[in-house]
Amino acid sequence: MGERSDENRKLGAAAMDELYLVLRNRERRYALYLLLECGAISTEELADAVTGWTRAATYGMASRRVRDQVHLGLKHRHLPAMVEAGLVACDDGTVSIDPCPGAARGIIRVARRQETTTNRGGGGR
Amino acid sequence: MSFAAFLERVRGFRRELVFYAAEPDPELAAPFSERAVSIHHRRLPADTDEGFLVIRHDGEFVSSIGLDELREFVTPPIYRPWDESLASAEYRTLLEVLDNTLWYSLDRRQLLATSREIENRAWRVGRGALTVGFQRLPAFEEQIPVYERLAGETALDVHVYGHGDWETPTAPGVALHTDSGGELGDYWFLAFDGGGDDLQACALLARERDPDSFEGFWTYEPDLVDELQNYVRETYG
Repeated sequence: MGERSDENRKLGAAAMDELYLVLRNRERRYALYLLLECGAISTEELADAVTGWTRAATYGMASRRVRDQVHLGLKHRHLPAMVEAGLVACDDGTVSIDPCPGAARGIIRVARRQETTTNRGGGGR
Repeated sequence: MSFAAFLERVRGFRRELVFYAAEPDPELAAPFSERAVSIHHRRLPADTDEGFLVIRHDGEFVSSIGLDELREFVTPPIYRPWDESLASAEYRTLLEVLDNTLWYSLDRRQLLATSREIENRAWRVGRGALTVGFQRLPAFEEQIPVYERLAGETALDVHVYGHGDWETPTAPGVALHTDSGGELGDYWFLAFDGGGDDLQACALLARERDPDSFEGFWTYEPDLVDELQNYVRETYG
């Protein structure tokens, strides 16, 4: 399909299953959150940003070693899974959210709001 | 060789800082200057309030840190070198993430907090050479109680350097070197050689650009620490 889906067009059952299987993994979710924001990004920067963002919420900082693990995971497991599910396209070191159906984007958006807005009591900002 | 040459070298490390946040926070980017590092901002979705910083060197990821953690550095805790508090452990991690990066405007409080980390390390190892420059006598006078304890209660070999004629009695066990010429009045430095353990080596060098505004860096690279200590010894005794 070359055209963007109408957000109102429902996903088929199989596509829904695949979407939730992709969303089951935290690094895949954060990769999709980033892609939804920027549209397209290099695999290298995606690895940097997924590392930084997922660790910011939990451990605060991340080392090169951690980042390289994230990069390997994206390259060999997660990006292929997302391509297979029709959510992203990978071409020559760049990842794009272009193929992602509107209904899937809506679900990802809701997940992002839920997961990346923190409610820190007291200490916060 | 000169202190200025050390700063130039770190300026040439080509650190790139990329801030990811829903909204750019000028307070966080302020201590770095475009002159010393390249700074970029990338937008995160508006509904997110966790931001983070990615540090790159020559285009490659070095480390990342959450912006809340980075804010800790902007107002750091001040404690004594022998305090073992959780706050100090987190702060130490923060310094490890941000080493070998030339800061453009540290204030005295931030400088002192970083100095404490080095003194704390020296205290814990308990031996080796600790080389310190506090610019002028009044700044050192404030630290005398700390240095009395460092020199008196460990096997550290402590040398303090400063500008001008210091006639005041110093802390016992502290070797004092003064010089009336140029650099010492402008540069604040600490270097600890690790006491035989390279992993414990650390140093800080900062130049007072304007009153209470310092340009400087800290490092955990043993070679750089060595070079700095050797430079000070060879030049000032």
